[in-house]
Amino acid sequence: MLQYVVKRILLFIPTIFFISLIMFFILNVLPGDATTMSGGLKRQLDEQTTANMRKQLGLDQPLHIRYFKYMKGIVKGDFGKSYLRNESVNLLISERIMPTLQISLAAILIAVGIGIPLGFISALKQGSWIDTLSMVTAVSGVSIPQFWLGLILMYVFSLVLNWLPPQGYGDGGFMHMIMPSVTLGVGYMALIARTTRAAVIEVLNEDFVRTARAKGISELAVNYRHVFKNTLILILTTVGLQFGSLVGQTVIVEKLFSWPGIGSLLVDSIFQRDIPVTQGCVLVIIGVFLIVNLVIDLLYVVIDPRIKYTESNR
Amino acid sequence: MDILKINHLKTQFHGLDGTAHAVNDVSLTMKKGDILGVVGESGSGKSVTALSVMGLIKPPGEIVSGEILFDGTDLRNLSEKEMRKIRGNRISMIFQEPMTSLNPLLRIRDQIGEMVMEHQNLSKKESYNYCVEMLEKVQIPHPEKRAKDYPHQMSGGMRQRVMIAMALSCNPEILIADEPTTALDVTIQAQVIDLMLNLKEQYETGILMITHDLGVIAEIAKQVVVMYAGQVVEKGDVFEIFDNPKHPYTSSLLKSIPKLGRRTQSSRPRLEEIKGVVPDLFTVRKYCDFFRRCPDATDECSKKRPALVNINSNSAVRCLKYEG
Ligand SMILES: Nc1ncnc2c1ncn2[C@@H]1O[C@H](COP(=O)(O)OP(=O)(O)OP(=O)(O)O)[C@@H](O)[C@H]1O
Ligand SMILES: [Mg+2]
Repeated sequence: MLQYVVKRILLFIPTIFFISLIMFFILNVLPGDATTMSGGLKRQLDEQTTANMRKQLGLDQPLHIRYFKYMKGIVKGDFGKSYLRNESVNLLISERIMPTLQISLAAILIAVGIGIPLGFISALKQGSWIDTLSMVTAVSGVSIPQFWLGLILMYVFSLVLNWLPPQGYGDGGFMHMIMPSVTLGVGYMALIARTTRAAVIEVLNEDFVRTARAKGISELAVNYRHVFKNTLILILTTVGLQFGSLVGQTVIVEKLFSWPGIGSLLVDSIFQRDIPVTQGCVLVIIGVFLIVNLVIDLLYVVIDPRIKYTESNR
Repeated sequence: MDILKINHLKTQFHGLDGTAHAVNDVSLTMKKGDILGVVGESGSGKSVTALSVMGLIKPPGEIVSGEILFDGTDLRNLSEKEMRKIRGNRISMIFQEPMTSLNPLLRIRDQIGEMVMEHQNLSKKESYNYCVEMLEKVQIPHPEKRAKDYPHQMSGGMRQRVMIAMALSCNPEILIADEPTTALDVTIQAQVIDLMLNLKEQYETGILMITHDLGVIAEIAKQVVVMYAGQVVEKGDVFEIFDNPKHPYTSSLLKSIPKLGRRTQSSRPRLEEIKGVVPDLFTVRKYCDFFRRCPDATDECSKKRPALVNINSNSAVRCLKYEG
């Protein structure tokens, strides 16, 4: 088990190395660089200034040397320095990571906290109005585009009702978090509700559920110990797979609500050709993604005794 | 004394292509501590009868009419809560599929434990000890160790033993065994049957033995009920039925099983299969359900549905030959 974890973590290294390699070359080969963008859209800096800037940023050196230097930094945990802001990428990211984690976690909580019970009740009361209602909600939840949902929420809760602040981080307080988290969480929740419903319906038809009923234990015990536990694997898989798209969606939501997270930092840096920042953001996002996937794989072992990560069955 | 008496039970499944009359007017009686065999082809309604007794028929299935008298009380009149006190405790059931009938995520001791905790007010610790005791009774080696196992760590025969241990753990008055050996290989089958017989002696449990293996019935049952297309076509004493079957379906069933010793005879008779297919359960026919497959069918059989005719106090047959 421990061996497996160590192996998985060691495998992160080539993954990250490979991604950084591809990313570095693509980003640097694309036309335009930080010097052309730093003057703003309307202005052109003169030749001499750009040349000086290039030299200062090390952009006049050949690509492979730049990559080598960059990797040397990464190994030491240094993501380099922003081209346009006079700050290290490490600092920029560390400032931005908390807000993103805040709304992502809140979105997952919403998705799991509402989606699982909703799907479970729907499955138990198949065909009833509760089932119909929640599945209509779920389907709409999956199909509503986030920017649209976000705008509607902003319109209703900020402009019309004036209950919530429309945008920004404020002091990072609860009120500012609500709309971005909900916008991010609704689609996720709908998906989990649907997966849960399907999984529960499947498990309800299993022989062991009939055995459990035949024991004369309470319906609650049947549903929790026998039905729910057996749906967890499927639900967890969905949660894990969807986490990837959640990361992508933070970009939209953060931009929409001017939320100062990694997602908006990433978008800004792309537009400004601030390559070290772009690279830093992507690597951090991939790191989180890899860790989440590892954690989920480990949770499988906790839930299901049939799954074991030993040498013999791998 | 009759511990179980089913009167005119009808259980149906409502589906898109109509209503399946899975159990259509079944009556049977089981004496306390006896073994009652129920035989019949696949789809004849044996499992549905058993599940009806357990109160485990779920929509789209429904018990339409009839009485299920257990120790004098009609189970159909009990609330779900009262029924739960009987299920697993006074009537328990072993299912057809040992491989899938146990929860893959729980240890054996928890699966047996939750049942004895429910019905016998044992603490968790006591329930674990009790579980080990029960596993020992069904001859599982190293019971202390096995109690901590998960189902996937056990073989099919072992799992069926666990099911038996579980079913007997609350000392029930009736054990419904729904083809407990069908999924097991032959040597294990015999062991499991022996085990059930031993335990029956020990606990004085009545067994409702459902099977399509007539060999098993001949070996252990005292009374037999033969089912066909959701109905009882013949019932009676086991020796009477084997020696002198009255219903043509029963005789066909008997001819379809191999008899030991026949091979040595020079002109050994071929095993006869029952020709034709089981009739569908969606239509209620005006003629005998066995008519199309019956070797003895007459013209009359295509015009009239036979009723169950009593031959004597404990045997009956549903065939026009015995009517009128
Ligand atoms: N859950 C269900 N939904 C719909 N129809 C069902 C259901 N369960 C049983 N039936 C119907 O009841 C009929 C009798 O089924 P049952 O399981 O009692 O047969 P059986 O005698 O136990 O056969 P086997 O020997 O194969 O176990 C089936 O043919 C089927 O049409
Ligand atoms: Mg069956």
